[in-house]
Amino acid sequence: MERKSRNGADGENLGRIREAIAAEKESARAGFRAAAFRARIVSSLGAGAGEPSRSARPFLFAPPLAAAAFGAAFIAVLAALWFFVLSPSPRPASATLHDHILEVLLQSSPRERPAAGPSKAAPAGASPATRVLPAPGPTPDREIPMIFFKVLESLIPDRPVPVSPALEEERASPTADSILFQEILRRIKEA
Amino acid sequence: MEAVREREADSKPEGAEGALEAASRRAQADPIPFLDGLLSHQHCVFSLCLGYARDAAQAEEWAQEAYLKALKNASGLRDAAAAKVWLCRIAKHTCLDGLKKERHDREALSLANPRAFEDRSPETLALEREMTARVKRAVRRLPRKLRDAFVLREYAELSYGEVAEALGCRRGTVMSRLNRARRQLARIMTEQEDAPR
Repeated sequence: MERKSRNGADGENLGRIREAIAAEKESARAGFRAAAFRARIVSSLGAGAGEPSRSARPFLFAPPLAAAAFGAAFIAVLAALWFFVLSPSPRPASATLHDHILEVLLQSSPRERPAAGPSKAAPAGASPATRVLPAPGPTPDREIPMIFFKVLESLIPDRPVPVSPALEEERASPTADSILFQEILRRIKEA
Repeated sequence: MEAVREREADSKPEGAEGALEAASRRAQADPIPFLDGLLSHQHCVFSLCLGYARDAAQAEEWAQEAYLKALKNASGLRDAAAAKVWLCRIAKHTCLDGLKKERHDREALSLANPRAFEDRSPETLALEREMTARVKRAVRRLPRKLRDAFVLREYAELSYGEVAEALGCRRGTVMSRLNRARRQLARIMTEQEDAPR
């Protein structure tokens, strides 16, 4: 009984729904101005001239421009990241003083250094693998900034370096470090 | 009634279809003839949008958007005979996009168009306004598949075959969905009446 009355109510409502939809369509179509509708579409077609759509988005948020702007910003961020963080430290343009000093420092590591006397320079064709040695003591950092070498170069005079008495003493009983230092100086002068 | 609708849907002359097809090929260079060809379905598109929209103004806006999309994608029209269905499909997607955007904006439902009610009494107007709002609320509560079928059939007045083509399903599926949609709508309306105000 209850189900029957519910079905009756549903059927009645269905009729009212149809009536309401018909009334809505009728009223909406009566208010619809076909000529104005066409004119708005035509004006929207003409490169934004005339009356734009009411839902038109701001210029900068138009999809192609937004995509282009996003792409440009992304590339700029990537470039900045590479330049400031990931790029290798500056290297000398050619084999100069920087290379010489590095060469000497590496050759003077305890494993290859002779007990006394100046160390030998690396052979011309030495492979990098033989030059990079796991030194037990303090080893030079390969990432020494170029400015260090520039300053060092500017400090070295062209004339012969005056030797202090202390250095003379050291030369008499040379230590490993003093030998290394003298070798560096000699190479610098040669360069 | 159904048969009359079916016949009306198939009553377009072949000459108009040929002209529309030719206009669609030239739409990139000159969209106006193509637009004029498509405007013969403007009432259908507008009614469809009305089924999804809050009011007539929003329906008109969405219909305009749908036409602009259709003009931009004129090459998508492969069969001029199916231009109405093609256009309705675009309008349906436009309306669904519009509803998504509107989701955050829960405005109260308003009357379709006050201009059309000038000759009615205030009491009749109020009753119709209330009923229209209730029906719209109920239609919006329908599941999406049922709502699409219902709007295409009852608002856009497409035939069962056209609804099936627009939705990409079988005619029998459309009939089943329409039946379920009507029953659910009636139930929702009954619940709204029973609910305490």
